[in-house]
Amino acid sequence: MVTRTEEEEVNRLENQVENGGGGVWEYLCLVHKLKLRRSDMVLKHGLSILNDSKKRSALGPEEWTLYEQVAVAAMDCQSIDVAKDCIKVLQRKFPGSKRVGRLEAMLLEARGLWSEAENAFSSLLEENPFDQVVHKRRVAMAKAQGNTSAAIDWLNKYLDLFMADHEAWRELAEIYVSLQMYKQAAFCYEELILSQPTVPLYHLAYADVLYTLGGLENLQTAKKYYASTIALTGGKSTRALFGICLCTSAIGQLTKGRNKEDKESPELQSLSAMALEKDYKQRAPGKLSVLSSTLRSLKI
Amino acid sequence: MGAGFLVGVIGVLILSHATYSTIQYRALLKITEEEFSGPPIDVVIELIVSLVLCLWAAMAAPGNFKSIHPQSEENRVVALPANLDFMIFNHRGKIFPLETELKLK
Amino acid sequence: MLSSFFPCHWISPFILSILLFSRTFMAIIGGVIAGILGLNSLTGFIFYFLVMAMTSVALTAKAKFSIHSYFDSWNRILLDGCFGGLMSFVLFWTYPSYVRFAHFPPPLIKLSELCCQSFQVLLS
Repeated sequence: MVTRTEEEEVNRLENQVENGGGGVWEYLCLVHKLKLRRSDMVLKHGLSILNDSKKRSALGPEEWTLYEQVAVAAMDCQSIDVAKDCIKVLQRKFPGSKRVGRLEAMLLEARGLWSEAENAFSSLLEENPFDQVVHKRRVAMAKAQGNTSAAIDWLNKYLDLFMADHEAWRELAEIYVSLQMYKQAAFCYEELILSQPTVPLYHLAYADVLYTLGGLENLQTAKKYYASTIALTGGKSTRALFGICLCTSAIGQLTKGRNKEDKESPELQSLSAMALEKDYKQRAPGKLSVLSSTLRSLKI
Repeated sequence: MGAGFLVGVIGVLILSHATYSTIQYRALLKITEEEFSGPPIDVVIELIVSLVLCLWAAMAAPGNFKSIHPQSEENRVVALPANLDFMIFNHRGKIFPLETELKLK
Repeated sequence: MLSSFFPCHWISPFILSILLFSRTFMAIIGGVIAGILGLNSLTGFIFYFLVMAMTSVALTAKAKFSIHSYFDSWNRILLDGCFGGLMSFVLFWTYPSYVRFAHFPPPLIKLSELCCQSFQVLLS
């Protein structure tokens, strides 16, 4: 999870690195630790370290992880030659390593040689059937070929084996959302919330999915999860604040004409509307009129 | 860290000076054969000063407390990591190749 | 309110190490001061708990008096490390109090005597 402090640190280091102020290695470490996808930066600055033999040898054994990081970044940027060179260096250092074998298979994948890559991954799996990364690469490959149903099959099989892998649950949820299979996506987000209850973004995504599904019960649950998102972000999530307003309006439309007994926490929507107005006043005063007309159209 | 550590060093130095003064004082008492009832007033002042300095150092040197609440300003999660294990390579960035002179020497 | 729903009270070992550092350091300094002042038996222990109370107040001030945003309970800041620090305190308290008896602390005299004796044994 990327917290606010970490995000600020990354942005600071990125500025510093871009302006040639040093700290390249710290930046690369942080990107690796937070699992950010900054392939162009990693490729450019990682190569600047690797091409400088003095800086490279100063890293000690970390040198080889940097080669790996740069190789993957190069594949992401379609610099196949660089990736090939990095993998060659690693091969010379670690002959017969499975981790390098994985990189080779990924290189085939990056070049678009799907069947060769598939074969390489299968043989890797034969040697070690519990290699999580290889399982995940197969899913990614199916997705890259546009074969989402196969990707879902692979992922479901994978999750039968490794149920605690929240990254896979997240991927599955995102695939389901992209296919508009919201019920299944909601199930995945429930799993995610169970495994990591303090991450507000899962609460938010779950609430979004429930709101999209519609129906009174779902809307009420969605409102609750928007509220928990607000609690977990300290009221800094604009999307969740809007979500509360939209949910309240939708619930109001559904329950029109019925008795208002089951109306819960009526002050919630006015509070979130107030928070939104305050936030807009502070950060985008020009858009304040748009916001108030939107809120009025929601009858809040 | 730096300033707090320096304050601590100064405090310990004053404390060692106070110790040295007390040793001298006790030696003097031994010669004049008087009873020790307490160190002289300047030593006591030194002790108080060094205690305050060391307390300051003990608070400042080891670093700051960090909030334990997930919703606090520094702890709140703003982004999820890119799901790197599932990254695919034939995305639209393919059309915009990077500078070609990048090369591993 | 939030705390009852989410398991957020996980204190990082880093914070606990900060507390331990402050406590131990103050115990050592307090021990040296008690030794120099020549405090005896009970007064020394009372002095120790005074120093610890001072440290607690200072730690509370460092947490900007909002304990519950940094710690799960008051015990962390008031009691943690108090009794562990007592060992360090006693060690440093007794050591300078040798000053009372000699220029050299007795262990050093003992050591030099021992050296002389073993030297004589070796020579004879």
